[in-house]
Amino acid sequence: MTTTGVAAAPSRRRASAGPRRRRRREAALGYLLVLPAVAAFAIFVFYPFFNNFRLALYQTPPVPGLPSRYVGLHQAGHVLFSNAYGFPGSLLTTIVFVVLVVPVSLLIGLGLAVAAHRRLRGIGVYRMIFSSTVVSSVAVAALVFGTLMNPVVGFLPWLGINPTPPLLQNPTWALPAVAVMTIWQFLGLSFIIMSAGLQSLPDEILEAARIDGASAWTRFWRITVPMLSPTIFFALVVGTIYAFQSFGQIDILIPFRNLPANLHVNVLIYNVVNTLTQENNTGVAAVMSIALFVLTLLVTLLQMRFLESRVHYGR
Amino acid sequence: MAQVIFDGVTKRYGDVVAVDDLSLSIVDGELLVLLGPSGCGKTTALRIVAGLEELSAGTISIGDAVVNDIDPKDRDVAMVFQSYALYPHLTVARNIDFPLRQRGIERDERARMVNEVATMLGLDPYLERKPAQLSGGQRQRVALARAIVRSPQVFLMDEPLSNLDAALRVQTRADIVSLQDRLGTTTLYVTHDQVEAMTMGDRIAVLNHGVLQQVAPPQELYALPANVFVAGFLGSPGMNLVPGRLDRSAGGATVAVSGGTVEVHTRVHLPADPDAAVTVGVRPEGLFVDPHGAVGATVTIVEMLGAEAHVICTLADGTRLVVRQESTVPRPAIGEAIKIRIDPDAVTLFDTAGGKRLEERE
Repeated sequence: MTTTGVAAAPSRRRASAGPRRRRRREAALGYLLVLPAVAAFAIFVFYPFFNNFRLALYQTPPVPGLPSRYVGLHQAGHVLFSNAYGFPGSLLTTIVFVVLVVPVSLLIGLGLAVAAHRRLRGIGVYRMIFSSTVVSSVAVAALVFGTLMNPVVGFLPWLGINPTPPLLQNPTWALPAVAVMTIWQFLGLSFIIMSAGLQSLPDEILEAARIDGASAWTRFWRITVPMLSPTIFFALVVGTIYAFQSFGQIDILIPFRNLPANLHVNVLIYNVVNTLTQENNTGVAAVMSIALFVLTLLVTLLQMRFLESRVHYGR
Repeated sequence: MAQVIFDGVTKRYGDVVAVDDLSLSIVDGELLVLLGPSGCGKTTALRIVAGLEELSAGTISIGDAVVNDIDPKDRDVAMVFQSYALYPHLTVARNIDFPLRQRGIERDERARMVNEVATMLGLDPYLERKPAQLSGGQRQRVALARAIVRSPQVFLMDEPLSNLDAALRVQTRADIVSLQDRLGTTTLYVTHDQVEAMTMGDRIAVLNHGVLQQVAPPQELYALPANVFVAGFLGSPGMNLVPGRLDRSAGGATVAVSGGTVEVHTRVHLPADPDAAVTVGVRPEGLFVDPHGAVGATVTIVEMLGAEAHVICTLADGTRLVVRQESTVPRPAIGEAIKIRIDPDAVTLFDTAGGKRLEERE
């Protein structure tokens, strides 16, 4: 290589330098193009996210105007391990809420998707109806459900479902009532995800199972569900995150001002927002929001760890 | 074991007729190939036997029973799909076991049957693998194993070889034939590949546009095609079809075609009209490049296939002719004007109007 034509060397160097310079120019252009998005994320996501960790280390003064006091992890321990700010109760309520919402909305979503996965006349109308909840606003849906559950003019009381105290102020029924509305709201997305999954299953495999003698029940549980498991897993993760973040409907259906202590609807995010807006306690709110973040992250990682090994990918 | 009978079977999708008044019997133990171009209704016909499609008219029987309203699982048929349709989440062993399990067969018996079939098809080393970890040929054998493990009355095979590479296809073709021969199970085999049909079928049923064209053993289908469609579809390359006009002025019979005349035997029932429009059909092996030939043509391509060569030429009116010759015979040059001799014994005549073959006289 060292002896092959001295004259060829410069041209080879030019040839290799050209593409490298072009690549560098292209890279620069690429960074330039993503800059606006990065800037927006930095300002509205990364900065608040990291600043939140800083806020959690400072105690908010009891009187506005005084400087915040650095307390380190002391505040976090106090919030998380005592009942001073209702954190343990909120945590339990959040978990109960997620357990109420996620499995039911996944099951109903899957059921509706299977029911709508046929070539029937007018099935498109049903598909549109089933998926419509995903486009309706939380606020509108909450107002509608609030009206349905209204003890005087509501539909449920008209049906005879009218406990005392009324549904949304009833210690037993308030959380399930909000859960029902949340299930309804998530159903559209659950239905869409499940439908998309079903449509990607090859018909031939289910036909093979029919010829092999499998009943509709067996085909569903032994063929459809296992093959749909990646989809179900995805819906489970999305649904769990969605349920962890449910706030609007609770806030609208059960305003914080009227919240009796025994009404267990004080989910974490609700507690965070109210600690911030009603008590102006930035430090405590920061601690609880980090706790919610860690909880969501942990649950998602756990789901991935334990469920993904049972999920059947690949054909 | 059972016969399968289509009786006036019709299947419509809206205005489209996929299968049109099909009547066909598959004899007990026979391997019958349904052959036709894509969209000819052959797969639909197969799915009708499986019970995956409902009939618009007619009856379908398996054994002695009409099965029109019987569920696929109760028809005692097994199907091999083009895509194999293996259960991706189950191991090979569980895939083969699946139909047995649905029949409530006892566990030990099932294991014995799965092992027996796996050994028969050389699948023992792969029993604990998932389908995704197998090659195309192995998956294909799993699909076959799943079909034969429960000894059904009828095998239904929907282009089972079309996803395999050429060498494996030839091998598997032979394997399926010997397997079917050994098991003696009535088999309905769908393909668009006429070589596959010729080599595998006891009989071949040719379909076009949902209409049955001809049912016959391969050799008869090749030698005596019922119409121009069958003549052109079968054979590789298919039969040469040259439009012409009958000429009986000289006492005998000749057909005037573009660039010459073709002598024909008068053994067939010739049309009453002395100058009727007829189509001359000749297999490529019935044509010879010969300076004394009666038809002039121009060579367009010469394809060399090793043992033989195909001389592709065109007549004056643009009709394409393929001449098959031994590779030892000198080949003409491209663009050369040649004469073609036609063996009168190799000529099949078709009525141009209806496309039907003119029958031989007794």
